[in-house]
Amino acid sequence: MKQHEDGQKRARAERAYAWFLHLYPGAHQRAFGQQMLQTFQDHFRDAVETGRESELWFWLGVVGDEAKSLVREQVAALRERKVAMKRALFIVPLVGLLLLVLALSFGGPILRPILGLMFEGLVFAFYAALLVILMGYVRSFPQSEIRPMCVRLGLVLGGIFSLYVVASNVINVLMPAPSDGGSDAILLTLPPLLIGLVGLIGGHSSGRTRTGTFAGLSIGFIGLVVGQMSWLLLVVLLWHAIQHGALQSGLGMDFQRDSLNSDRIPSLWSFLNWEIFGDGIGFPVTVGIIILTVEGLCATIGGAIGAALRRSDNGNHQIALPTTTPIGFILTISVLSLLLWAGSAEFQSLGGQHRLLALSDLSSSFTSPSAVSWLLGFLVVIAFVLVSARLNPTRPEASAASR
Amino acid sequence: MKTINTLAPLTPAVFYILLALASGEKHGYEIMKQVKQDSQSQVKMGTGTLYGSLKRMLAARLIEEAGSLPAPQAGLPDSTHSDERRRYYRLTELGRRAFTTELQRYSQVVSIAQQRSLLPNFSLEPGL
Repeated sequence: MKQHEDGQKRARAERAYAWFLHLYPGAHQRAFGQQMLQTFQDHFRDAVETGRESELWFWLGVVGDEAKSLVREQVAALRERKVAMKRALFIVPLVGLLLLVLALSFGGPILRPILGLMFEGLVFAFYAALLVILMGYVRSFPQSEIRPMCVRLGLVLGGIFSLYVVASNVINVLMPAPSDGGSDAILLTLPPLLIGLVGLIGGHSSGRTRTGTFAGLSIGFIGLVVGQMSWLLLVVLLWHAIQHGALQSGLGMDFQRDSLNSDRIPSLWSFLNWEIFGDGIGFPVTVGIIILTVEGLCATIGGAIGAALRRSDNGNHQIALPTTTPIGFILTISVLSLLLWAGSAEFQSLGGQHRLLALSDLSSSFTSPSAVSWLLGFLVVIAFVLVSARLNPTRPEASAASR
Repeated sequence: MKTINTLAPLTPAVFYILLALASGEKHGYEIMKQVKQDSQSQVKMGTGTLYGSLKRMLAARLIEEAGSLPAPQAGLPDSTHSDERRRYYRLTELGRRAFTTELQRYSQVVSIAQQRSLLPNFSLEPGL
């Protein structure tokens, strides 16, 4: 008789607890719901059926604990959803504007005569909106699982890189253009080197590839935005000097070329349009996007290497970088050597031209055959590193866990 | 190592779960009981708190699900009720190292406190 009563009591308790479980976020329910129900049954049997605790006391404890846990898990789920929703909210206008800017740029020769002066205004409005939305989109990343240290690293180096880009732009605007004009000898450039290394540091410090990607990409993004903005600002500030042919730099030559190409002297808007969007084909914008993509690739590669090294470190119970698996260590040194070689080649090349790196150098270097082969080589190396990391059966990763 | 440093100091819940799992694989209720016993009822962990902590510890790779159910252990009244819903957990290498590092940290703190005569009647003997 007592067994029957206990059974009924237990069934009622399980139903009540199952109702509590429905209040948890779906993912938590799916991952732990059955286990929690089982643990509750064990607890109930052990505490109530053996008479160690009164039923009232037992339920007071359960309700108090579940209330706290429910709030904590719902808040955590809400935070995750918020980040996901923010990204989703950004991605639609981001892609839309990007397509619009590209369409306007590519369709320039057709649309300019139709829209007249409105064309430049539209292009710049969309372009500015694109940059603003892009910044908002990137801002949503630090709220996720990206470690603050990597965010700070990315921002600090991004700031330094921005200064470099601004200085480069100033020199390009003020200094006479080099007589050879080209920079095809440049292999890859300083930004990917920097970004790859930062990606590696980020990946290694957190054990997550995407942390490295974010840390590295934030540098490239900041550099791109600051570079474009500073270029616009310089053109506006120096417009008077440009108009009167006082500048013998590449910018001054661009103005002369525009004047020759068109029947009239270019206005500030049409000149800016030319500088930013090129010959109506969106060349610099397209190059900017390609640069960001390549930089993202470098950051991801660096992050993947860093994360793989971290896994190797953890798997081998070792601490420092030189104590990783032999293949990982050799490949890492190879990659770093390759990056340093590319960087030093770039410095030598730039030293010969007595100037800093410009965005136009990036475009030529990224599209050169040597750069493409270099990237392919890099991809092969990273594939080896990933394979070697995957061979390691233990994959403990670090993250802020002791919350 | 930096990994461990980023995890320290561990929260009481995480520390006691690691302590409970340091002696072998356990399922949820076994962990709950062990934590209560080890903390002398100072840390009372309900089912919700336990699985919230386990979730975060799994994400941090401090623990992992054991591949298979161990044989029923003596002295565990609920072993006979094991079914497929029950999941066993164990420490990962990272979890073991985090736990050891935390113990060393505690030991250093106690040592410093003793050197400064902050614990005149303190004894490291268990149960005292």
